[in-house]
Amino acid sequence: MIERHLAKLRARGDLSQEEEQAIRAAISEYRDYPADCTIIAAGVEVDHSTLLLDGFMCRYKDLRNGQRQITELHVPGDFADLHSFTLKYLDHDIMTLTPCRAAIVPHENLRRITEQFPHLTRLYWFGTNVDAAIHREWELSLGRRTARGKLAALFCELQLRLQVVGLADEQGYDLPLTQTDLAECTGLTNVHVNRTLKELREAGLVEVQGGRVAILNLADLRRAGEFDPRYLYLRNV
Amino acid sequence: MARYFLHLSNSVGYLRDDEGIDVTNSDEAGRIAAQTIRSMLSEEVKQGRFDLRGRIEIADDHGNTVRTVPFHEAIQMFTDGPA
Repeated sequence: MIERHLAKLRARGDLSQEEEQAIRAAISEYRDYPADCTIIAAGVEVDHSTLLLDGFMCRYKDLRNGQRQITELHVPGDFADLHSFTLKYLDHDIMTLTPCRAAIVPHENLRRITEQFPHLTRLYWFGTNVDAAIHREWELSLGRRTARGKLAALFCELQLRLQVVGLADEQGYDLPLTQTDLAECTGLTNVHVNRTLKELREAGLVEVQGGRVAILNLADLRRAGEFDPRYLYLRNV
Repeated sequence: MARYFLHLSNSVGYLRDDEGIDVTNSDEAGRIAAQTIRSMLSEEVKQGRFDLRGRIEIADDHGNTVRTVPFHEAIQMFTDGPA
């Protein structure tokens, strides 16, 4: 069940049998969620963190006029809110974009890990630092990149993050998100996303259709998105 | 909620919207069409180009065009007179 999470951790550091066992033992239950369901609301105190096993989730913030900014996408193997362990309530919501399966890890069990497994604790700290690096990359996209650059960078990031957990190769990956989801990730409108996807296809970079991202030319796509994979800190890949 | 489709027609060609947006009514679809036009034009302006020859056709669930928003209706433009 947590193999993708273990693969993600191992991409960034070594993991002992005892540490793996400690992670398994920290899980209190498994939950299934439908798509488009806010599972953690901003400002509400939580006593557990959510480990995404299957499906896609996102962190988002809304403006009063209904406009939504997705601030990070979560792929299988990610903790959606490891930071809630220290923050206790979140400054953003977390929702499912597709049907999802998740493992629930009570904060009490995470506290035990921090006390008994300092190396694993550092790996998790590392993980929240990588989340911050992803946020910085998205800031760069939202503030400075062109529509084409924003989408190219996003598809490159997902390609690598999904490859780490065995859900992508250099030819592409399944991405069951809507154009609205992509628009909310990139600060564009649906139609603008649609038009930019057409441009990317015509330029021979990537074809997005029917929930599949088919990469036509990975090197050129990375160039278009000015994608430098070092911000994902994949030391063991 | 109702689903509307925003089909784009401009100097580059025609781009069909197969996904659509869920909104309360056609007025809201019109507002989103205007936002969309502004978003696309602003990107073009940053590249030094401003082309108002285009429109968004808003179609309902049955494929009927309920409204057309020309690009120039989404912006106010001033070219003469004192600033």
